[in-house]
Parts: sequence; C-alpha cells; structure tokens
Amino acid sequence: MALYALIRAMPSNYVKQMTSGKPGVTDQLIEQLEKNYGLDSSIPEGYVKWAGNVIKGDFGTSFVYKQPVFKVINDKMWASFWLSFIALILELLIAIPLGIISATKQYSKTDYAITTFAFLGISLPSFFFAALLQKFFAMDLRIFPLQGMVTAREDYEGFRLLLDIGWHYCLPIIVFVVLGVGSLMRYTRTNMLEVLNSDFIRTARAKGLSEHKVIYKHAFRNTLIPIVTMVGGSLPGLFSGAIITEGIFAIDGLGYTALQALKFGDIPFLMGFNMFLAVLTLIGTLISDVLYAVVDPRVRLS
Amino acid sequence: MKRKLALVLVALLVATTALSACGKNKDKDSTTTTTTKEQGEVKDKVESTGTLVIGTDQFNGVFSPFFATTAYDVEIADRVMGKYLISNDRLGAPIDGIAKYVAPEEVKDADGNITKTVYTFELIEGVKFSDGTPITADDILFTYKVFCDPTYDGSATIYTTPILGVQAYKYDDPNYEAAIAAIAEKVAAYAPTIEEITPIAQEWADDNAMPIEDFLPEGGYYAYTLDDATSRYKAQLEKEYIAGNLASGEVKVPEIEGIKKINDTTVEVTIDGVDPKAIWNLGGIQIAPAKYYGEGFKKGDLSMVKAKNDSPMGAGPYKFESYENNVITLVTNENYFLGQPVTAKMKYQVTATANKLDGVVRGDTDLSDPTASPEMIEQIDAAGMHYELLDNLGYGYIGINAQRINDLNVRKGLMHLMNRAPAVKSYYDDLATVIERPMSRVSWAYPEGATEYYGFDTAKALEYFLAAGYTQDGGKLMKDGKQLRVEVGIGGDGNMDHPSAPILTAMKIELEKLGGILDISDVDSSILFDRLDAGEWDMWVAAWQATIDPDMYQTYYSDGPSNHYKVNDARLDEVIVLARQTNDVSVRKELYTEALDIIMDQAVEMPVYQRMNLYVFNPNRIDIDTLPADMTAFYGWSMDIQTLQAK
Repeated sequence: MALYALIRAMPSNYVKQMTSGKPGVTDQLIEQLEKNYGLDSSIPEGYVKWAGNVIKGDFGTSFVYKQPVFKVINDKMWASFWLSFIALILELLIAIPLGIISATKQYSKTDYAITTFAFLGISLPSFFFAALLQKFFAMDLRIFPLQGMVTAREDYEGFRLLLDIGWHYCLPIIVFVVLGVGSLMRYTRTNMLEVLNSDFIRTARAKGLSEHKVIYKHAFRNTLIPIVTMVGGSLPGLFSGAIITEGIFAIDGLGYTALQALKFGDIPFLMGFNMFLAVLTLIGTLISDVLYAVVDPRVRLS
Repeated sequence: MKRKLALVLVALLVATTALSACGKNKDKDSTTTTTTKEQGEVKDKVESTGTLVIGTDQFNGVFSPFFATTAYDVEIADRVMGKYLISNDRLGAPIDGIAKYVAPEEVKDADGNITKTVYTFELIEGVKFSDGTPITADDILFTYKVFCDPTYDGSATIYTTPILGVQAYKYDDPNYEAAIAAIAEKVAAYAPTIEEITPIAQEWADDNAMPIEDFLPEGGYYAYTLDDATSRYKAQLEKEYIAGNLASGEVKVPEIEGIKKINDTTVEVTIDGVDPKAIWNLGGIQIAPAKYYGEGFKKGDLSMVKAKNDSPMGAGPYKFESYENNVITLVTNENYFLGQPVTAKMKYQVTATANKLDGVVRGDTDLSDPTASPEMIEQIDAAGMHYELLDNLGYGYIGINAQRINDLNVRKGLMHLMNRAPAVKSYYDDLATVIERPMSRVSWAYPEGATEYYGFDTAKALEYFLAAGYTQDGGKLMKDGKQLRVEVGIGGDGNMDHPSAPILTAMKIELEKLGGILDISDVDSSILFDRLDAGEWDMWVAAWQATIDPDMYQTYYSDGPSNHYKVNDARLDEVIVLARQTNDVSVRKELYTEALDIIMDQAVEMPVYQRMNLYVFNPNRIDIDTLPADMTAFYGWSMDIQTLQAK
C-alpha cells in the first residue's frame, strides 16, 4: 500500500511522459489516455483496484512493455539470473578460500595483499571497471566481445549458441566477481577469525589435531552458518539484475527493464516487480533456514 | 529443466532444418560472388544475400504499428510495416506511398468557403503483405478503426483530425454533437457562486503574490478567475459525459461516418473544413493486415491487436523473425512491392550508447547512431569510418511564461541577456547552428534569411527593465518594493549538462550585475515537464519535436493545449487559424513568417539551436554507394532500404 502510494506519487506519469514534447497533443486526448491507463482514479481507489485484481491472479499489463507483468519478468529474468548465478558461484569459490587463508594468516603479507585486492574490488565503480575491461579486452586485445549477448551477425543455434552466449558473458561476469568478491571475502575472514578464537578450537588444537583438520573441519563448518545466511539473502539479487552492468554490456535483463519502467512510471510493472522481489526474499530466507539444518546439526529438529 | 528441454528441441529443429536447407544454402553462396558487381542494373532479379547489423538502443519490445512508442521500437515497426499510405520526399512534401498521392479535393459552399475536404487513397497496384495476400480497402478501414477506438491508448493522434463522425465514434454516441452543444450551452450560462469562485481566486492570488480581492468579482483581474472557473466547469461536464457514455458497453456507432470504402483498393476520407496537416495524420499510417491483427475485432476491445505487439506483420521490406538475446532478426520480404531487398538479413543489436562507435569499428555492427559530438567525428575519421550528419527533426529553445512574467518589457529585457552562439558552439561545435525563429530549420516554413531578433546586449536589457518601471536602487532592480527575480527550469541531469546551460549561467551573472536575480533549477526532466504543464516556471529550457506540418495551433494559439508560453495575441491567433484554412503552401509560408515574427516580438520564446544527428557506417561492410543520395531529416538511410547492399 505504502509502495503503491509512493509509486503513484512520483512526479509525472506514463501518459505525460508519452505525450511531452509532442505538439499535436490535446488536453482531451491526455484525459482519455489517463482514463484508459487507470491513472484518473485516486491513490486509495487505484490501490484497491490493483489489489483486487492481484487476488484474482491478474497483475495487470505493463504500460511500457504492453504485456502481462509476469510475462515480462519471466522473459527477462533468466538472463539476469544466469549471469548473477555463475558470478555468485565464482565469488563463493574465490572468496571463501581467500577469506580462510587471510584469516589463518592474519596480519601476514598474504593477508594484506588479499585485503587490498578485496577493497579495490569493493571500491571500484562498476561503470568504470566495465569500461576499462571493454577498452582492454575488447578494443585492444580483441579476445572478448565488446558487449551484447550473442554475435548478432551469425545465426548460431544449439550448443554453438550456448558457447557464444558464454563467451559474451565473460566480461560482465568478471565485473560482477571482482566487485562482489571483496565483501564476501571480508565476511568470511571476520567470521573465521571469530571462530578461530573460540574455546572449541583451542580444545581441538589441544587434542592434537592437525592444523588442517582444525581449520577445515572444525572452524570452517562454523563459519558456514553466517555465509549461508548471506547467500540465502542474495536470492532476490540473483533475479533482480544489475542496472548499470546490464546497461553497459547491453544485456537484456531485469535490472535495465526495471529502470526503464521506473523512468516512465510503469505502475503495474513496478508493483509486480516488487511483489516478485518480496516473494523471493521470503523464499531466500526459507532456503537459508533449511540450509542451517544442513550445516549445523544443532538446529535440526528431533 | 525447461531450458534444457528447449535446448534439445532447438537442437533437433536445427538438425532437421539444416538437412532440408542444405541445397539452398549452396545456391546462395555461389550467387554472392557473382552478383555483387552488377547490382544496379538487375535489382529485381538479384537474390538477397548478406547480413547487416545495426547498433541500436534498447527496445521495449512493442513493435506494433499502433502502439510502438520509442524511436527504436518504431524503427522495427517501420521495417516490417513498410511505407506509409502517403510517403514524403526529401523536403517533406507528400508523394506516393503504398497509395497514390492525389491533392485533396475541397468542397466549397456558395460563398466559396471550404466546408469539407476529401482525401482519396487508392492503393498502388499489386501491393501485398509479406504473407502474399494483397492489401485491400478493408485493411485500411481496419487500421483507421483501431486508431480511433475508444480504448486506443497508443501515442498516435489521428483522432484529433476532424474526420466526419470521428468524435461520435470515439465517444460511441450518435448524438455526440448535440451532447457537446448542450454542454456548451450549460457552460455559456454558467454563473459561479461566490463559494465556487473563492478557492480559484485564492489560487490566482497565491500564484501571483497579489491580494485575493483583485481576483474576486469586484477586483481588476476578475476576468482571469472567471475564465479559469468556466473552463474547469466545462472540463468537469465533459468528463462526466465521457464516463457516462462509455460505461454502457453496447456499440451504438459501429462505423466512422467520414471514412468510406469506394472499391476494393480505394478509400475516401472526408474531414470537416480544412486541415492542411490532415494529409499526414490520415496518410502517415502503415496499413496493418486486418486478417492478422484483427481476428474477431470488436469495437472497444483491442486485446487481439495488442496480442500481436511482439510479432508485427505487414507490407514492409523485411519480415520479423525474432527478438532474442537483445538481437532482432529481420529477413527479406520476397513480396515487397519495390522488389525484394538485396540484403538478406537485417539484425539489430542492442548497444549501449557509449559503445555505438566502438561496435562499428570492431565490426560487430555495421551502422549505428552515436551521439553527435566534435570528438566523435574525430574518432570516426581516425577509424576510417563513413558518417552522415542529418538535421534533427526538432529544435531547442528557452521559453518564458507570459502570464508569470506579464510585462512585455521585462521579457524583452531577459531576451537581450541570452548569449546563444558561444553556448551552442562550445557544446556542439559545428554540429548545431543557432536558429533565429522558433521552428525547426528542416521545415519548409522556416523563413530562410531570418535575422537575429534579440542580440546579446546588456545595455538594451537594462533599458527595457527601466521601461518596465524598475529602478536601480542600491544596485538592485526594484519595482513596487520587490526585486526582479526569475526562476528558470532546466533538465541538465543535475550537473547542468545541457547545450543551453551556459546561456543561463552567463545570464545569471549579467542579471546580477544589473541588480536582478536568476534562480536556475536543474531538475529531472519529469519534474521539469510536470511543472511546465502546471504553468509553474517563469522560464524553462526544453526542445520541441518537429512535425512534418508546421501547424502552430497547439503551441501558440491562445487556447492551444500546449501553449506553455501563455502567449495571447489576437493577430497571432488570427494568423494561425488562417494558415490552417488553406492547403496552399506559399500562402501558408507567408502566414507562418508573420506568426514567427509575432512570437519573437512577444518575447515568449528564444529559439536556440538546430542540432544534427550522426550516423556512422562501416564502409568495409556496407556498399556506401547504395545509401540514398542527398539524405535529409525527412529522408534517412533507410528510405531506399531495398537497394542497400551489404559487402
């Protein structure tokens, strides 16, 4: 409800955006259009109407994309998802070992090197880093495509198409990974340090277990719990896309789609999109709750 | 899982089509090598080969001839739907499209006044849709009906043309005229009570920072209040009428009175009186196949038309194949009435604006439209690419609201503080020119040789401010105890990134020197237009898109709906109406020259720049000689697309 009011309260609306700058437009026409788009009702009235349709399973038709909201979301989310998903896996594969190493060798040169790298990644603006990659890998070395999702000139199909898409995804994934790996790494490191200083680790060491066993069996399992929370929480992020990176690499994902919708005051799409994210957040929390049981026997029932 | 299944299916499909297409492919390859050289002579018989890739902005995926809104969606619709009913030449004059152009027939009454104008559209022989079915008059009728449907919510404005009976169709009331007349009567007899008038008077008083008494019945400015109250009352009545009418649900007006089918290939459209721009409203449409778009079409329900938004079909040079992974694939239409295009495939690759040139240089794309800037031209030259600069259909301006700054002398003073040339030069260098009248230079009505009206001259500005009754009091321009203060809105992305921005910053300094204040508000464009519609800017910076007809009614007529200037000049109104009442181009040109001078004299709009659009082509991929010669804003690279040859 608050969300609906906020979206409706945005300056200008879709009809005004569509007609501004066009000399042939009359007031009558604008009025008629606003009526057709349901923008002539008051905010509470509009909300009740929207909510009523939602209960019936109808999220409405996007103003900008002129298609049912969930069809638009379904069409666009997979590009965003695969991109973020692959990036997330890579992030985990890189961040967790690095985090453990830098925690176990706290204040060593390796630790400083890894931390510096992490902060560099966190602080780089995505548009800048993406432009650097494009200049270096696409324009100078020409080993990766500049942008896009497929080689437009060719009509690849089947497996060849998949390869082509993968090749085009390389640079955006590098952007995601380098920018995202830092925070995950820092997170692992902090948690690992915390666990390493706890009593049971001392006990484990006192038992005479090898350092390797102490770290990877006893300490690591315990750091997994907060990491699982974080990964579960990133589920909506997997689908929602990345506005800037998608824009620069011309990837047809949800981030850019949502930005367009926001610009033009596409109320049905924005409401549907937010509902979608809300549901994903809930599912994400649920998944991490279930995973707790996997990584931590204490929370299992019975 | 679904994805995998899809992949398997695709793979199967590929396997089968590859097998069946094998022989064909070989033929194609052999023709590539032999036919490239003798294209010119044997256009019609040449087999289409090659692929052109065009770097473009993001699509919204709405490629319908009825509902496409963004320029890039419209371009796809154009490729697929083909030429308009009536096309235009390089200067924007009407010529044959898919129908023959004949001058409209004027019906005059006994006194020689034109009462009606009749447009006849006869389809050119043999025009077909891409599925091979001929285009007929029924398809034209269907297309008009969609545009005039009560529930039509696209951006076309065809039903603002005075087609006979279009309002009755739109509001589905055979007695529309009577109903409107009844409303007019009610409005004429409207005598607002003091309770109704007070809040409106209060608004006026607040807006103008004057006492409310001035706007009450005894006050000097009561006419404004009454006017406003009356128009609000009228809008209210109309709204109630429209709402009441469409609610009933049953169709009372099934046809548009003024649109008639003469025979299978001819349609006649009759409009009330004269409207010189009607030829573009009526003829500037692409005919949609009724069979494809309108199966079971019923008035008041466009859902089946909208269902085809993502898969257009028409009579254009190319057929729509797919929109996947941000690439649109179009293939030649062998039934195209100007001959099958010589390039077999057109692909549109979505490209971030910053990468458009790089894409062409790398060879990923073959042509694109990067933002025109002097640096861009340098880069294009350095990379050995080919480019074309075409005037943009539109112009940039600075507007002044004559109601908020109601003293003509103040407006003229402000005009003299605008230094346009250095600003335009620094932003665009040679890629834009300063214009002297508020009209795009591409229009035939732009008076060539028009000279500067208000030069940059602070002394003259001061003279005008003094003439307006301001005095320089302790370094401040004061009148009635108030300092001259003007607020200007500009959409400069928050960092004054706008060609007109330097004009304002310089103006601010100059006005300060004279003792006035200029408040510059750099706001988001949606806020800019919102406040503009509400009439809340003293001054603002914006741009007009030019239409192919120079009609000024909407923008400069005193009651015009887009008259943001609030300009109200009897002679201007008269000239604008006169220019709408004739189809004679030379008469209209003279009238518009006069109108433009009046607008300048009223000091409500300072025309600033006419900019150019940039198109870059990769000469290694495209045969540059097959681009249209002498391109203009009205006649771009795609006008003769059927002969455009990929290398």
